[in-house]
Amino acid sequence: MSTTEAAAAPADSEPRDERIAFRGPMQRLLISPEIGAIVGATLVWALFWATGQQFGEASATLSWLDAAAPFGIMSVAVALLMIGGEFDLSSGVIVGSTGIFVGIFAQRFMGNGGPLWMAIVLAFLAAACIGWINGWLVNRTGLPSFIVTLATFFVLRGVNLVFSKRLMNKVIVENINGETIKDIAGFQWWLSDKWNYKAASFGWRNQVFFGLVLAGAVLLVAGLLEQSLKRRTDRPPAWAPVGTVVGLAATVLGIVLAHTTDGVGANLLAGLVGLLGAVVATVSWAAWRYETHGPTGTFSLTGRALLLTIVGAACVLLAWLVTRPLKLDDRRQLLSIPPHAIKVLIGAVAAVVAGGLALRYALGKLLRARSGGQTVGALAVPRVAVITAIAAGLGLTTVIVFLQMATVQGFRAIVLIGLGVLGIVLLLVAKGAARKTSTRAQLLPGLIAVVAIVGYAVVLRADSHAVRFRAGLFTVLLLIAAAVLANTIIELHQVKRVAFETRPDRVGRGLASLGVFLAGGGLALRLLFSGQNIYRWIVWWLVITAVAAFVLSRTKWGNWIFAVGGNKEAARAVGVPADQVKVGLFVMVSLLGCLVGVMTALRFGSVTAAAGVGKEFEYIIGAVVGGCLMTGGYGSVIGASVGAMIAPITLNGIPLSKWNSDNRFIFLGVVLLAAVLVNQKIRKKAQEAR
Amino acid sequence: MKTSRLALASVATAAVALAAVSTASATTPPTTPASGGSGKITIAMVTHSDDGIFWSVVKKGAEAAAKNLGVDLKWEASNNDSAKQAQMVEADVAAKVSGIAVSLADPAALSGPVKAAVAAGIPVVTLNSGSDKFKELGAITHVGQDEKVAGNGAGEKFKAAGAKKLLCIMQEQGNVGLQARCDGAKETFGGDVTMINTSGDADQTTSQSEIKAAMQADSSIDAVFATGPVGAVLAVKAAEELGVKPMIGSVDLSDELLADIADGKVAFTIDQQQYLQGYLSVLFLYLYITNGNTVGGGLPVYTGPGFVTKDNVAQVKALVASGTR
Amino acid sequence: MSALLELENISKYFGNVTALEGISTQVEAGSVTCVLGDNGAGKSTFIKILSGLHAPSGGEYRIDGVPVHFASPRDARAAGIATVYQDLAMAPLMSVWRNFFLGSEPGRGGWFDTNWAKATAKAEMAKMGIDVRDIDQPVGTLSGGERQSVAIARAVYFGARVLILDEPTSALGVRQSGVVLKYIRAAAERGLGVIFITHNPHHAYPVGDRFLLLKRGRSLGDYAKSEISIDELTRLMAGGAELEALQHELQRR
Repeated sequence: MSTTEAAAAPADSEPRDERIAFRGPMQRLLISPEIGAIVGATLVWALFWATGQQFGEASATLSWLDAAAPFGIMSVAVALLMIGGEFDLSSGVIVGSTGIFVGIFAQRFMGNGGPLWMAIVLAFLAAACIGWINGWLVNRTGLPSFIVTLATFFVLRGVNLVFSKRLMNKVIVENINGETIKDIAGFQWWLSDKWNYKAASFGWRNQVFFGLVLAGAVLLVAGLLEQSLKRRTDRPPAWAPVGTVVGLAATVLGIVLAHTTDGVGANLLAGLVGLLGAVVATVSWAAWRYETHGPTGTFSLTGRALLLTIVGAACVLLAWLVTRPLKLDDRRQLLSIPPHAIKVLIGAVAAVVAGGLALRYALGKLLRARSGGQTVGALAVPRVAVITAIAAGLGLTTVIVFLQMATVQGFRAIVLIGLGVLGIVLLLVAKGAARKTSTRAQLLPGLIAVVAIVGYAVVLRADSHAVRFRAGLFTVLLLIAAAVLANTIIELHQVKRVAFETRPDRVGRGLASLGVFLAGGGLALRLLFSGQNIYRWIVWWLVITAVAAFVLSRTKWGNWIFAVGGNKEAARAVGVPADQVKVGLFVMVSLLGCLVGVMTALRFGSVTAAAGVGKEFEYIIGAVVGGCLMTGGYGSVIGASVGAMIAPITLNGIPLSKWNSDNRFIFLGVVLLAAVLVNQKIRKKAQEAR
Repeated sequence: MKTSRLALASVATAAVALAAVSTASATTPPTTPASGGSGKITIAMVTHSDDGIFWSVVKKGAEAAAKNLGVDLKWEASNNDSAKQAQMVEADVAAKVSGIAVSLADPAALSGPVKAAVAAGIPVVTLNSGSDKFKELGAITHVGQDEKVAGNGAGEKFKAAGAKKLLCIMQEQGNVGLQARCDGAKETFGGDVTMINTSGDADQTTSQSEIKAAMQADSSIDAVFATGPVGAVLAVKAAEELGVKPMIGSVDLSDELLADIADGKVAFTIDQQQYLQGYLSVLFLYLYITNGNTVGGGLPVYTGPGFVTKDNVAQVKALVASGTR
Repeated sequence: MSALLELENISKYFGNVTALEGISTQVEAGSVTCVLGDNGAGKSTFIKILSGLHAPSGGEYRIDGVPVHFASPRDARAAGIATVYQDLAMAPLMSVWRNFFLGSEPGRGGWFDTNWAKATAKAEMAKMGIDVRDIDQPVGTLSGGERQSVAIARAVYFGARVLILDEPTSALGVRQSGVVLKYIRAAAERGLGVIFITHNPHHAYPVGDRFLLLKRGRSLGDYAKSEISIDELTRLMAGGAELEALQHELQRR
C-alpha cells in the first residue's frame, strides 16, 4: 500500500484547484434547484401580505394552502416523473376521471350503487392500469411520453364525458355524499374531512408559538454559523459567554415586553432591546466558538465596491426624496398633470437614452465586424440607423404608455419600493464585493446598509395607511437590519471557512434543518388552533412531499430516478432496471392523481366532466418553477411543492388585495417566468463561481 | 349567445362518441295527422345541440308542442358543428319543409342557408341563440333568453331584498355570456358591484378559495351572484367557512343547487326555461303557417328569467326529474 | 504461477469474415497491457470478446489459468473483468458520489447510505490519487480526464481484477491524457491487470508493460517492454515497412 500513499501524496501538496471553492450555506442554497420557487413564492407572498389586509391571517393562509394542497401533491408526483425524464399529460384529467368513476360507481352502477370502498379500490386499480399502460407504451414504442400521454389524455377526457352523460344523463356527477352513499363517513374522515380547533382551547398557543419560532431562529443562526466559520482551538475571550447569555436574555425580554406592553413607544423600545440583544448574542456566540483573527486590511473602498456603495446609497436617498412632494392618495394620471414641458423632456430623454444604447450596441457590432476583417454589406449603415430609430421610438412609447397608465399614487409606490429595494440590494452586493478585499473594507458598506434599511423602515412606517406596512413590514425590515449588522460585525473579526469539514457541515446542516422544522412546527400549531378549517389533504400534501423528498435523496430508487432521467442507457449499463423505474413513476403519478380525484369528489360531492382538464400543465409548471429540468435528470420535489404554492397564493391574493381579477393571468405569467429565470440565472452564476 | 353552461362544458369533446349518439337520436316521433290541415305540416328544428341535459329539455318541449298541434317534428342536432348545421338547413329547404326553427350559434355560417329558406318562402323562427341577428335574416321572431335580461332579473331581486354590495362570480374568464349576466345584474342592482373571475368548474378547490378570498376582502358584501350552479354551491361553502350569510343567487339548475335552495342557503336561481324554447318555436311556426300570426312585434320573445326559489323548488325538482325543466 | 488473464490463439469469425485470427497475449496482476492498432485492426472485437459480449470462435481464454466461457457481460463482470467504455455510463447531472454508486447503492433495503457513500467515494478516489474537492459536484462539470478517472475508480472499487479501458485518451487533450495515464498506472499499482486500448504509441509506451499490436485482425507482435523501444513501436504502428515502401515509391518519382 505504500505505493498508494505515494500516489496520493503529491495530489495533496499540489496547489488547490481554484475552480472548486468552498461554498458556504447561503451559496449552497443558491445553487439548489429549489431557489427559484422559494424566492418566487416568498416574494409573491410578501407582496400580497403587504397589500391585502387579511392575507397573512390564519383564515386566508389556510384558504390558499387548501387550494395548493391537491396541486402540490400532483406537482410532487409530476416532478418525480420529470426527474425520471418523462411527462404525463394525462395527470390532470385522471383526477377528474377517478372522481367521476367513484361518484358513478357508488351511486348507480349496474342499476344501483356499489359500496364506496369497492369504488375506491377499483378506481385505484384502474388508475394503476392507466399509469402502467402509459409507461409500457413509452418503453415499448420509444415514442416521446408527451405524445403517448396526450393520447391517454384525450381518451380519458372523452370517457369522462361519455360515462357521465350515459350513466348520469349530465355532464356533472353530483350527490356524492352521505345521503346516497352509506359507508362514506370513514373515507371522508381520512380523505376530505377537516380539523377545527378553537384558539381558546389551547391557551398557551401564542407562547408556544413564539417559543418555538425563537428556538428555531436560534438553531438556524447557530447552524448557519457552524457551516460558515471555523471552530477555534484557543481559549475564547471571557466576555463571549457573558455576551451570549445576556444577549439571549435581552432577546427574550424584548419579545415578552413587546407583547405585554401597549403603545407605540413602549413597543418600539421593547423591539429594539430584543433586536440588539439578538445581535449581541450572535456576535458573542461567534467569538466564543469560532476562530477570531481580528480585522485585516484598510477601511477604504475601491473600484466596484465603492461605486456600488455610492449608487446604492443614492438609490435609497432618491427613493425618499422623489416621494416627498407626491401625495399618497393622489389618483390622478401622471399624463394629466402639468407642466407638460417636463413630460416632453422625460419622453425625449427616454428616446435619446434608448436610441443611444441601441446605437452603441449596433455600431459596436458593426465596428467589431469590420475590424475583424469581415465584409460589411452596403445595407449595414442604414440598418444601424433603423435599429436606432426603432429603439428610440420604443423608449418614447414606453414612457408615454407608462405615463398614461400610471397614477401619481402608482408612480410613487413604484419609486419608493423599486428604488428603495434596489438600493438596499446594491449596498449588500457592495458589502460582498468589499469583503473580497479585506474584512475591514466591508464594514462601511455594511453599516451604511444597516442605516439605510432602518431609515427605509421608518419612512415606510410613516408613509402608509395600511397597518401591515406600519407594523409588520417595519418589524421585518428591522429584523433584516439586525441580521446585516450581526453579519457585518462577525465578518470583521471572524474568518470564513475555506474548506469542507465533514463534521461541522453535517452538524450545521442538522441544526439549521431542526431550526426550520421547529419554526414550521410553531407555525403549524398556530394555524391548527386558529379556529379555522384545516383540511386533511394539507397534511397529505406535507407527508407526500416529505416521503418523496426522502425517496429521492436517501434511497437507491431515488438514485435510479435521477439516473434514468439523466442517462437511461448508462443507468441500464450499470444494472439499473430503467424500464421498471419509468413504469413505476407513471403508475405513481396516476395513483396520486386518483388520490386527489377521490379526495376532491368526497370533499365537494360533485365532479364535472371537465374536472382536472388543463391542470396537467399547471403541475408541470409547478415542477419546472421548482427547479426540474424539462430534459430530466435534475430537480427537486420540495421545490415542486413550493412552486405549486405560487399560483394559489396569487389567485387568492388578488381578490384579497381587491385587484381587478382580469389581470390575474398576466400577473401569474410574469411571476412564473420570473421564477424560472431566477432559477436559471442564479444557478448559472453559482455554478460559475465554484 | 344562448348556450347553457352544461352544453358549453361539453363542447369539443369526445366527438366520435357523441356523433354516434346524435345520429341515433335524430329520429322523427310518430305524429297524428293535422286536424283541419290540407296535408301534413312538417317543422324542422335544426340546432347546435350536443344532446346534453340542456337540449334534451328543449327537445321534450318541441315534441310536446308537435304532439299537441299534430305536426311532424324533424329534430336535427349538429353537435356544435356549424358547417353541418348549415347543410341540414339547406337540405330542409330542398325538402320543402313547412317551417324551420334554427339556433343561430354561428350566424356567419348560417346566414346564407337561412336567407335562402326565407327566400324560398319557408318561415323561420330562431331559438336559443341569435337574438341580435334574427331580424336581419328575415326570421319571424326569436325565442330565447337574453343573458343580460337574466342578469337584470337577478339584480332586481338583490335590490328588492335590500342588498347593498354585490359580488358577481364568473367561472370562465372571457365568456361573453357570463360577462353579460354580470353586466345585466350591475345595471339593475344600482349598488356597488365587484366582479371576479374564478378558476372554474374544472378546479373547484381553487375556485372556492378565490370566492372566499373575495368575500373576505370586503366584509360589506351582502349579496353573491354566481353565474353558474357549481359556483353558487361553492359560494355557499365559502360563506359557511367565513361565517357570513350573504344572499346568494345563481343561474341554471343542478341537483345540489336545488338542494341548497330548498335548505334556504341559496335564495334563487334563474331558470332559462328552455322547454319553452322548443315548445314556443314549434307553436309560433304553426300559428304563422296556419293562421299568419306573428309574435313579438319584431322583438325577441324571452323565455326567462324564470325564478326558482324556496317556494317552487319542490315542484321544479320533480319537473327536472321528469325532464321538462 | 499463471498470469491473471491469458489469451491463446484467439480467433473470431463472422460468417466467412475473419475479424481476429490467432491473437495471444497475457495480463499480469499489477501490470498494464497495451493493445495498439489502427482503425479496423480488430480492437473493438477484441474488447467484446474480453468483456463477454462475443464468444471467441477459436482459441482459449483463461483466467488464473482456468479456461472460461462467458455467456454474457454479466458473467465477465462477476469474474472481475470491468470494462470502461468511451461513453463512461454516467449521468452528467448527477453528483460524483451518486454516479460512483449508481446501480450498486450501499445500504439495507431501499435505503441509500449517502453519508457513507460520499465518504467512501471520496476516499476511494483519493486512493487512486484523484482529488475531487467537491464530491457533490455534478459529473458533467468535471473535465474529460476527471470523468475517466471517476469511471476507473468506480470499476476498481467494485472489485475489478482486470480493467479494460477503451480508448480513454482518444478524446482528450495533452494535459488531460497525462492525468488519465497517471490513473492507469495507479490502478496497476493497486494490483489490477489493466488492458489499455489505444492507437497512440506515445500514450501506450510510458505506462505499458506489454504491447500487443493488431493489424487487420492479426497480431503484429506481442512484446514485453524490454523487447521494444518507443521508436520501434511507433514505426510498427505507423505502418512500419509499408511506410518505408511508400517513401521509396515517392522518392523514385
